[in-house]
Amino acid sequence: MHILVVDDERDVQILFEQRFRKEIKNNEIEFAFAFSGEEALQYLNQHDHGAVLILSDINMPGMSGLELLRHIKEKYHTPPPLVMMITAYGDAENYNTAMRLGADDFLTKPVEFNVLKEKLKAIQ
Amino acid sequence: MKWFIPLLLGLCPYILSAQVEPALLSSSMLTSSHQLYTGEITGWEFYPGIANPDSASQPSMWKTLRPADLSTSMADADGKLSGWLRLKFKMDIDLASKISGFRMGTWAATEVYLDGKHFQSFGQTGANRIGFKEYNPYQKWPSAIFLTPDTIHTLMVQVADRVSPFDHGQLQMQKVNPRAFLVFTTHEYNKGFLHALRQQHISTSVWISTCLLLSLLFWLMYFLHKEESYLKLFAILTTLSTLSSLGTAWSTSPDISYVAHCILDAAWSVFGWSMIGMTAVVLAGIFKAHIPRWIKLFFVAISIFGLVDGFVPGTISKIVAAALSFIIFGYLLFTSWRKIKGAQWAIVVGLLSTLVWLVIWAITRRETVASAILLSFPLSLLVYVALRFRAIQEEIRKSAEHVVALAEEKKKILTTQNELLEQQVEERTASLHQSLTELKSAQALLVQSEKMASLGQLTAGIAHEIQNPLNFVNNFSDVNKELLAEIKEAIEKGNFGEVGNTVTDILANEEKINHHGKRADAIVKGMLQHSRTSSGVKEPTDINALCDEYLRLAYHGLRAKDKSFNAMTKTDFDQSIGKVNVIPQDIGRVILNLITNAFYAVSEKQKALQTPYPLEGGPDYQPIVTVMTKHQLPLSGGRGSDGPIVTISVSDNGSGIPASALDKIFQPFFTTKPTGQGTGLGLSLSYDIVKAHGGELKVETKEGEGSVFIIQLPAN
Repeated sequence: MHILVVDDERDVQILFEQRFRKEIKNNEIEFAFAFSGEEALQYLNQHDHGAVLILSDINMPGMSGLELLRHIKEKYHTPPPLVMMITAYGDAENYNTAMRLGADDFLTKPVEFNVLKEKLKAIQ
Repeated sequence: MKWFIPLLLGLCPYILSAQVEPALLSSSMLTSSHQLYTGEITGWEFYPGIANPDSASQPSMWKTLRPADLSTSMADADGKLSGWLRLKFKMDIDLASKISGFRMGTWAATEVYLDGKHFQSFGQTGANRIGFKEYNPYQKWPSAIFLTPDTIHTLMVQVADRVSPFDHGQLQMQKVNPRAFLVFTTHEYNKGFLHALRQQHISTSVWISTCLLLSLLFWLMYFLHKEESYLKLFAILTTLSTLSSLGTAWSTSPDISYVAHCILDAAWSVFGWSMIGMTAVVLAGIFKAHIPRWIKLFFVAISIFGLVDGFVPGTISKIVAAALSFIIFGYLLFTSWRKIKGAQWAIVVGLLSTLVWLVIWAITRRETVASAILLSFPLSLLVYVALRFRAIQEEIRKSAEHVVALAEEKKKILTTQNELLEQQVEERTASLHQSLTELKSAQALLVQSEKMASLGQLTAGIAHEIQNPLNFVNNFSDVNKELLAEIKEAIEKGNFGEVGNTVTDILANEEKINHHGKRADAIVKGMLQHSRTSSGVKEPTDINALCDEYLRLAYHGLRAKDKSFNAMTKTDFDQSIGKVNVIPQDIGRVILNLITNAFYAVSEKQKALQTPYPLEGGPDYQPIVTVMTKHQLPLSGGRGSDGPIVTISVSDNGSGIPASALDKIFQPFFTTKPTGQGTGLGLSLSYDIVKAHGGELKVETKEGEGSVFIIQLPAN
């Protein structure tokens, strides 16, 4: 499974690589990282159908996660990648907006990696 | 024609002696003034007409008639009386030795013949075609005469008189005592006459001058002291008195005509009676302080009476008028008796002494006493005025003393008040000083509370900012735990091949744990630093990092407080600015304040536009807050042109600042936020801080489009 993680915190990459090191080793999951919304869109443009799942933070400088979500859902219709939003602010408004814009899931920080792994398994 | 009259008269005694017995005159007939009035002697005969009764052509028609009995009925249609009077007399030796003079005492014009010879003319009878001229009998020295005793003498008098133009009931000669028609005078009379004349002149002079001086004095005083109204009354009274005395003196002068005499006589009568009326007015004015109407009427009435009486004298009317006057005086005196005081007694004394002198005069009939009668009242007025002025002076002195005392008292009060005032000022100063101290501490408290308020805004942001590194710490720690478990397992299995890689990972993770722990630590330290009182020490500070940190803190702080809030933040940091020497806590606070304000501005605009989310429908409003730093060379001529500056600008695309508020935003306690939400100290403190750094805090704004706050700091 191809997953694109979008977060402005660069250490997220190391964390995900460590957390999913078994899955990576077993080639079950392949990670790509983008550190802003713009970078994520750029990645998606370059790697057509590259990512099946996009995990995106919402609060980022520049393009926000929600904006990114809107772009993805508007541009990439076939097949539309799954987009999971991860945010520190799990308020109803953020959640509703994300859902309205077509988010497939909504997680709040701190990320429970066990829960995330379960969700990924379910998707697979 | 004059020449034949003595000739004719010379014959008379011999012709008529047989008919009338001569009158016998003796010393007993002399009056107390040593005169013998022939006017009342019986033995006079009268023959009317101008023509000589003894001329041959005229039959003698003498009839017995005393000169005193001549009356207006004997005058012709023109009011002229002409006639001849004849008296035969004989004197005893005693009388003859005493008689030395002869005078005429009435206004009739006469030609007197004694024993057939022309003796003297008194006035002009008009018979000798020279024209009529009455004889003024006043102050005339008797003509000398020598009469032989026990001899029959004949007095032949041609008399001419007029009916008085002022009183048709009497002849001019009846104006004065008609008995005084031809008076024999003695040496004694001559002496008395001289004495009386002198006396009269003296007393008249004294009287006139005294009254004149008094009236002048009173008029002068009245014009100088108009408020002393009685002075006018006094002046009028003494003026009347002066005029009256002048009239008296003048009317008896020896060279005036009968008409003038009568007019002057009437004048002094008017003035005299007016003076009496005025006396009543003065008494009322002095004792009653108010002149009743009837007193004024009395004054007018008695003045009119004086005029009438001047021409038509009557004894009874005079007595009645005088009595009435004295009754009025008495009434005025007695009704005020209890209230009389001070200077008023002078008037009382004057009035009573007038009465006393009057009585004395009635007894003695002395001219000097008459002066005393006339002068005592006017002089009492002078005494009154003198006393009154002394009283006034006393009053003035008292009031002056009172004023001085009052001034002294006022001065004392003023001094006391001054002292009180000084004391109060001192107290106020002390309390103001205390207030100032309290205010200073309150200000310090406010500054602290402003700091705390901004810290409160930050709390959520800080929590969020700490959350991220803590997440990493926890996650990496978890991962390490797993990795260590793996290593343990591998060692137990003896599988050392993977251990090396795993340890490398653990070390890398440890690095991350350490890094994020430090990150959290730095945030907490920053927070503590923010809340601490300023160290006041400048140190090289990374302005960009400071801006970034506070931008994040502010954003997350607001975000935590208001979930609906969202804004785009932009940064444009000029890396060339390097480290700037500032007090980090203070400048940090300024930056935080400006950023917080910017967020507030955009969120307000967003709320106003009521767009739940800018991405869907509604006006396309994207709240943006930008923080920019720049290193720039100073603009020539601008302030701080002595070196390069660093500018930190915080801009927003909010609603801007209205012009009305623009000049107030840096004032303490000015806030546009709802009560309780803002202290109104943020910008004020920021301004002070930037100033203290030798920099400038400026604002550029455009209503509806946003604002830019620019901090300019010296780069070195």
